[in-house]
Amino acid sequence: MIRPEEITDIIKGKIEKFVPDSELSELGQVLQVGDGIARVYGLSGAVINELVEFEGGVAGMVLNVERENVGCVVMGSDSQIREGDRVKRTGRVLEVPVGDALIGRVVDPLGNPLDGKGPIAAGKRRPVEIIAPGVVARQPVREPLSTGIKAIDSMVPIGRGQRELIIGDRQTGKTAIAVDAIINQRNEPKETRPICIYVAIGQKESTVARVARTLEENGAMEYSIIVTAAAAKPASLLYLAPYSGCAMGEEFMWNGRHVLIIYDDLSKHAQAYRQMSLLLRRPPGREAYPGDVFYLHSRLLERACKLSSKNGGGSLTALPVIETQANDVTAYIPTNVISITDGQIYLESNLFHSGIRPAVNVGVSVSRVGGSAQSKGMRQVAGRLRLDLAQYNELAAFAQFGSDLDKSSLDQLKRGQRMVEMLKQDQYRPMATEEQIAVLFAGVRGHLDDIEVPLVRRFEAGLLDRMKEKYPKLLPDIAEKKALDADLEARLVTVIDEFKKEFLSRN
Amino acid sequence: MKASERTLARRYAAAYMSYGTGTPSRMVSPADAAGESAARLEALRRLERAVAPALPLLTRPLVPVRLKLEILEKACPGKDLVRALALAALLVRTGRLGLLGETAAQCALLADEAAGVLRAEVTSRYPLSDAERAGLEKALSAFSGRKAVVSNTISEKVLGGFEAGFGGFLLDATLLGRLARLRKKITT
Ligand SMILES: Nc1ncnc2c1ncn2[C@@H]1O[C@H](COP(=O)(O)OP(=O)(O)OP(=O)(O)O)[C@@H](O)[C@H]1O
Ligand SMILES: [Mg+2]
Repeated sequence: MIRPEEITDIIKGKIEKFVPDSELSELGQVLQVGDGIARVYGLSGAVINELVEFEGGVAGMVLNVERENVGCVVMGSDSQIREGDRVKRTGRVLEVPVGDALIGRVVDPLGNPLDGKGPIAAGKRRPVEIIAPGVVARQPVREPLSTGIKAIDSMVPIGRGQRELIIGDRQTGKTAIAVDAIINQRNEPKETRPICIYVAIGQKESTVARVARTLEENGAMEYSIIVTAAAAKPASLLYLAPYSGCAMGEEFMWNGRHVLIIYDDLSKHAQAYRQMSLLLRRPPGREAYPGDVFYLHSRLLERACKLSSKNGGGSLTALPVIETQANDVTAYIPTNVISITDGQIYLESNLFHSGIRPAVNVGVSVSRVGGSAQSKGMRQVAGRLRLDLAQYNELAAFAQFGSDLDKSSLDQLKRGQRMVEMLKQDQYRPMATEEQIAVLFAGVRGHLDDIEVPLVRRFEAGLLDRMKEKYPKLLPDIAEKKALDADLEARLVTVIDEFKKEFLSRN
Repeated sequence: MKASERTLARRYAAAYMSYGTGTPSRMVSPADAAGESAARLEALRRLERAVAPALPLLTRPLVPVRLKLEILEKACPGKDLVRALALAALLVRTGRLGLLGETAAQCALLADEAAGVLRAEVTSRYPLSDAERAGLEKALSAFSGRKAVVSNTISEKVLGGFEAGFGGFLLDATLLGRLARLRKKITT
């Protein structure tokens, strides 16, 4: 709680330090305003992306510089602005507050608090748009970023500093994966735990509220920031949201810390930009998007990186989300973002509806750089997993025709069914890496083959409980060694056998 | 007014002011250019006053153009308005006589530019004293390299102090502005 006296002191300090001065500014005049766009006469010195101030304090950003007038987007309500109003140049680009004070808060893209927890005492501001760090400032991805989701951590591993796209139709669990990834960071040691930034672009207020509550309930808000521009906000704020979220993340990254940022979702971001561009009368191109819509996302996603050790070794991992229509990944925006990112997680509605949740299509999902960051233990179990699943999918197609299969094929089929079952995972239940390794070990080594498919998940849960109760050192040992050696494998087999005997006799 | 209209008015103004003078820098001395500009502006102002009573008729779309041109000519007899009349006739023919006022305003800016004059509009709570006015003119002349001419309006809105608008700039030394800046400092 902030005490009233403290506030008074802060205000007093500010008043004392205030030097009343005159102010010289370049002045323009509103010619036309509407749809969140203002045309301003004058301001001939204004540059693209410069912040301008309308009479009454509403901010705007210059997007078009034309002969004798500039086109601005209004960052807020344009109903206060009238024709003939004065517009001031500020000589600054748009900046947002950054730093630790934002952690645990819900803010709008300008950094104003939306959670009713009082003002944000951020000492520092950062420009919203910067040029991404160059080649020499970076280094290849090398630490894993665990999402706590078995299907992803094992087969589509993500590294810190990577850009991994989450793509799928509506209601396929895209947001769920992002939220689980945030919740899972609680399992990380505090020193290296990523700060998580969830940027909600054009979502329903209720959806954002739900995410905020979920993070709160799971104790994840203490290392998270939510930046939101809801669907009913002006397009300019939707446009701005990912850049300001990224600026907040960069502050941590340049201080040597790790950041996980989620852009949910960039389809709506592109639509907001299209709206602005059309109103600014820029020529429309494919699907009526303006010509520079590729650059819109490339300059954003390029800002995700792993900094070199000389620069502190911080990282910014981006998980952009794209919503497709009827699984069409060849539409304009999906193809653009696919080509910019380092890999994709494909979610499919038919998988989702047939109960395979998370609905990751592991056959086509890829991670181009995360593999080198995957822990050795995970690699040991995951290599087999991908192969098993691929063979299973091939056979499953055959099996549908009821053709006779030989014994080894039947075994493959059996194994695959259990793997698919094992990769299912409930929402808000991210698993620590060592738990994932233990469970996947049981699967790929065939220890689940004699468990009935519907019982697999119950077995999995029971097995983990047993390990924690009776062999409390086993999981921490796996976590510490990061790889499975002969000793650990033997110990794993012991528990699995022991528990399976009991489990089979009970069921 | 639409952005496009103002742009148009500016172009008409530029054409009207430079038509027939050749390239000012090479063919006309600066003093001549200033004199010519002032004369043309004056002519346009006179025409504006002369057609003012007929303006509702002249801007009505249903009145035939031929009739409008007749009215225009009747309103401005005399040889010295020939150029201004040609501009007005052009505006009538293109259906843009509504731009006449804005065009004249833009011409005034061009004439000021040609004469090296910077017009500053000062709004203050109390009338400027002669010394204040002279001081301000001197400072503005030094700032812009042009001869500053200050006009003064009184307004209670500024609360105290003054503000000066000149050539796309605003110098804000009002109490209102200071209070606004203080509020901003406290709230951010
Ligand atoms: N692993 C899971 N297990 C069970 N239910 C899940 C799982 N993941 C998501 N769901 C449920 O599926 C529904 C859709 O999930 P979510 O909102 O994450 O999808 P989305 O793709 O982000 O949807 P939208 O297109 O609306 O943004 C939610 O009701 C969520 O609770
Ligand atoms: Mg969603």
